[in-house]
Amino acid sequence: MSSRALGRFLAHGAGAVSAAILLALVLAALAAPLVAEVLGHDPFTPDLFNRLQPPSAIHPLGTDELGRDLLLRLLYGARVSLTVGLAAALASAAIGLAIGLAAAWFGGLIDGVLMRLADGLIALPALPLLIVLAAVDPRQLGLPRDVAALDLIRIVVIIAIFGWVKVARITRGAALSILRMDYARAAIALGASTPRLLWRHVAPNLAAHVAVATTLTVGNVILAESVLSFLGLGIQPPTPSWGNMLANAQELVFAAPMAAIWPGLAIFVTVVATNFAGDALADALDPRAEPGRS
Amino acid sequence: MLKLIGQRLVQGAVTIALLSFAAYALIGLMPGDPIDLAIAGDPRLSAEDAARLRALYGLDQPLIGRYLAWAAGALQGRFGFSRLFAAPAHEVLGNALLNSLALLLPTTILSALIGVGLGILAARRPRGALDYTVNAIAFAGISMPSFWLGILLIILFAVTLGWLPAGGPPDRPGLAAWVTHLALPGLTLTVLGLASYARQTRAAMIDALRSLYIRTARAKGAPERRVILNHALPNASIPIITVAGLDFATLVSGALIVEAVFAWPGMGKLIYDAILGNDYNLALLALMLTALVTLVANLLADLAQLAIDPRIRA
Repeated sequence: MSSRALGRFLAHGAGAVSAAILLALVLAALAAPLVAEVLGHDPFTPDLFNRLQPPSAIHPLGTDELGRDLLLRLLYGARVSLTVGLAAALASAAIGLAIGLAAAWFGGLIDGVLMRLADGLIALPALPLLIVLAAVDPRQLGLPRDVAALDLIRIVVIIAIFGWVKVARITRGAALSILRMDYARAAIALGASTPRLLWRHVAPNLAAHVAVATTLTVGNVILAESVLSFLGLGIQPPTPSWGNMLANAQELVFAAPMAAIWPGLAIFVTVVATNFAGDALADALDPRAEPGRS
Repeated sequence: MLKLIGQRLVQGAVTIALLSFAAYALIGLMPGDPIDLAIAGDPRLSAEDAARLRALYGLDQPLIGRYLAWAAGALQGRFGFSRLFAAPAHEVLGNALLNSLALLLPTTILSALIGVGLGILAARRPRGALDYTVNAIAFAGISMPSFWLGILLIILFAVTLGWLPAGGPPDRPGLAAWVTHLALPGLTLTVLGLASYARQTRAAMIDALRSLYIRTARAKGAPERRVILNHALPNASIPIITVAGLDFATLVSGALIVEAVFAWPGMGKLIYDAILGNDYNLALLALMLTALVTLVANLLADLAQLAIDPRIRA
């Protein structure tokens, strides 16, 4: 981002606030072990004598049904949810970029097949398909099960399989118009190789569009992860994620309604902030837009 | 336009066919096939019996052969037997589909009416107080995890106030029980659904209100009400309907989650139970039916545009 674009982004009130919130969330997630150190307990060990405690000095947000500290679980959950959100959004963007470029470059039959595939994925409700994919047994594909890191990768892959469509369409549209520009045609006429053409001429002019679409995807991805985890198909307990914390909280909604507030609020704030940041980024990267308008 | 509808029908059929194959293959990758389950259920089952059963069910055939056999049956209306419910899969589905539609149809209509209304109000004075409020509601609607909104409504209306049940199917016959049990899931889904209607309507109406025919209508002295409802809205409705058709899939996904939160016995819960319970036939049929409902809704959106806009009829 150029310094002028950065200036426009920061002049966009909601954009600056959103960026600050996201930064604060990332820092809080990184500081989770420190907070655990200060409070003197960890978010994984059950403490059955202190179940469903109200907020107190040692448990700022109270405890869950196994006596684990809610604030710490929220912070460790942030690590999981933010990691998945970012990784799956980047993976979706990478797939979308590749497919969009392929469609624009080759055209014809390949373009038709790829874009009809995108149409089909958009037209279908994603959730039932996500559930089917999440229920697939990794062992049947020759992968080990029961590895916590695999759990994360699995979710990222599943979400990316559905998440690429938007970036692919944007990439294809932008690439097609760039390839028709004089500078691209001049490069083709001068005999530039395909990788050089795509890398030096198409990619830089695509970057703004793709950056915006990726930022907006982060919010959707965090929502998708939370839904899957809420349904018990995503991140598996005892690893906390905002989605699976809510699943626990719903069962105890009559006994401890507050436990259901915090994880949902965390998801909501994160998604709102990424959506605002995406809008602000779109305005900032579009030189024709007036500063500070959404 | 007829050509377009024809294309859509072909595209829909291809989508359904591809989806059914993908789903069939993926479901085969889930842990435990029916024979594994039979072995788990009866330890005396010998290896030969298992092999014989496998051959009987056709599970020793390659994937493509099994899929074609299933597809041939499905095309003739034989969808197989549901393992979980011990009944033909299509009989189990009937009720769930009705329950889902009972949730989905009223909320779709409500969210369209409210969303379009809010969008019109916002567009009348862009950047006014009302516009900002509507924008905030719409933005919250698209950023809100649907299940969290559901839980919040449960906390408010079922836990704190005790006015409405926290979930489940109607516990007694009669309209009142249906309405009270549908109120919270319906409200959740309406709030989520109206967001995109409101955003789209606002954008389309602002565009329409800027055009020359609106200036003409105002110059002729048409009352504001007539300008908005008879001149601007019909023109704005085309992009609104396009997005409504595209967003229907999102709404169906939303309905499935909301059903899970409120333990509403619809398609969402059925798909979830069927997939986790290794009920292949039921899961496949439910997936196909959900996809079909969505594609039909998209087609209806196309037809509605055809009815409204004489330009594309030509």
